[in-house]
Amino acid sequence: MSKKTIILLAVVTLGFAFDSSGILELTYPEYFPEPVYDLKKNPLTSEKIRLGRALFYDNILSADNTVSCASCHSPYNAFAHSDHDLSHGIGDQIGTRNAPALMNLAWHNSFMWDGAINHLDMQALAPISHPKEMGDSITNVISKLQHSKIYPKLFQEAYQDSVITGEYLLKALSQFQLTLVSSQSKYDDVKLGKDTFSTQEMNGYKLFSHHCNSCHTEPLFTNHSFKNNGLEIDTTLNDYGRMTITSNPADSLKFKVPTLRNLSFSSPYMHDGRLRKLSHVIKHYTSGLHDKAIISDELKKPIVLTSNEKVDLLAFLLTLDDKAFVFNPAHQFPREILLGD
Amino acid sequence: MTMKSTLLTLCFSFLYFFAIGQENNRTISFRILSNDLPLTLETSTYSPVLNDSISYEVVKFYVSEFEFFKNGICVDSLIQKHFLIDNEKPESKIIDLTGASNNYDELRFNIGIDSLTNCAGAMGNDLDPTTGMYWTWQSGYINFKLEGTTSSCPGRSNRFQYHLGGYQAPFATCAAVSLDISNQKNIVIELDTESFWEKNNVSETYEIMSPGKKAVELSNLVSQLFKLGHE
Repeated sequence: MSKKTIILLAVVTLGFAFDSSGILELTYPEYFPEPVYDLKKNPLTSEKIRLGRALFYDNILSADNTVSCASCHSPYNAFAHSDHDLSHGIGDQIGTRNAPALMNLAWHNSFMWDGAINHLDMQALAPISHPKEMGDSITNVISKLQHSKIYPKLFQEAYQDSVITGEYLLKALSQFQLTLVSSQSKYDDVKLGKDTFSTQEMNGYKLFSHHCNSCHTEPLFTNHSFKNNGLEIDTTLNDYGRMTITSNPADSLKFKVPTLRNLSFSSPYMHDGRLRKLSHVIKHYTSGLHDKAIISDELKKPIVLTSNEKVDLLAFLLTLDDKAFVFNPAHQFPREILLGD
Repeated sequence: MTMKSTLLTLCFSFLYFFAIGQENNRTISFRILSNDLPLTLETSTYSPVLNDSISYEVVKFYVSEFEFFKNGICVDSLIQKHFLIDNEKPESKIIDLTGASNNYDELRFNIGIDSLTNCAGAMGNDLDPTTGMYWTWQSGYINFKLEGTTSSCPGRSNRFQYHLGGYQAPFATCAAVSLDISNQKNIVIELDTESFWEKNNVSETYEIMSPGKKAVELSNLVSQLFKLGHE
């Protein structure tokens, strides 16, 4: 392999490229929009990404050292939690929402199903502090990190400072998560002219463009807005979504539009993980919508699909699976850091 | 001149300049009071308004965007934008004014953190989320925190907890303060918690822990309690 090929491969698989100053550049296809995250305020370096990756996989972030970010955001599930409708925290506690898949986070302007969090840096504070998730506090986590065997060194390497602060911790976690760029699906290859859709996929793409793209907008397959998609309220959870944050009745039962990338890996679906299969999701949109009076405008007109069309739509959705992303070794448990291999 | 006298002269001039330097070291200091007396945390004290004893556990707030005005025109502003004032940390209550203009007749600042800063991601020092002034379940700084106990409070264990914050319209809570300053070297700004109880009925409102209408009301109230004190 030539040197150029190796560099190119590194760029494609890591989601970032090196420049001479040690600052890495986030790489993404030219048809992606500009990231929302201001990388100038948190310039990527390999040391900080490495630190963030270690933190992401380390149980030290939870009160009893049993749960890590990756417990509910597993790389093999596109950083969602397979088979768990609701998130799972310390002491086998169950939360109230489905752990969303994590990818292309540099393009998000809000986080959580209700948009409670306004910046990727601040997102980790919520699970760290939630009694049903990691049940700890950032102050205590920092004290644990400061007394650990590995972290003072990792922070020193990343920040040239042996004193660990909340800012360093949160920004390092952001760094690793920013590198989780999914842009190597078949859809992306077709976009780049490296592959073509089958007739079935092409037909599915047309149906998608007509019925789904207004909210699940290409190429990120979400427009990051909050919508009521016609799910009946689960009275065991009574989750009113966005309204909890804005106190605005018009936001009742609105949840953030998730990306459709990597759906094969990130089941179950919806904010409370109530739908286990993609076919159930399509059935929901074609014949299961609840309370049409308050549903989002995009869904007011019924979506009518024949059974063949449903299959075609599914075939297109599967072209958004990105195996290179899901099995990317650079995203996985860092044995060499956490186990000292 | 002998070597010795040269050294002595040097020493004295150093001391002289040091003293001058000290004199030029102007400050804004925050004086937190409970019924005209310095507020001491976790100490029972009498509140005439409540006609009850009261004990404070936390008095902590952000002040930001200090600007000096002369005849209504901004003549100077402090480079450091945000300061966390914590009654528990005496050093936090003094803001250095070295280098700032001394020709002004009005001081303007905010109680709290503006919405732009609230959306700017993780920051360090006074804005580090480890200060306990950042919400975790939703984004945003707590601008003003007042906690304690008094038997007049019907809350659990007679505890009152005011965590005032919120940056999104219509519940933005960062509130402006303007003080007319006569020719003073050092500025003393007083907050007497007693004045809070004059305006807020502890038997009705004693627990505000999220953004909303009540947080806006109380934030506006609190911003009016900051007064110019005597040097």
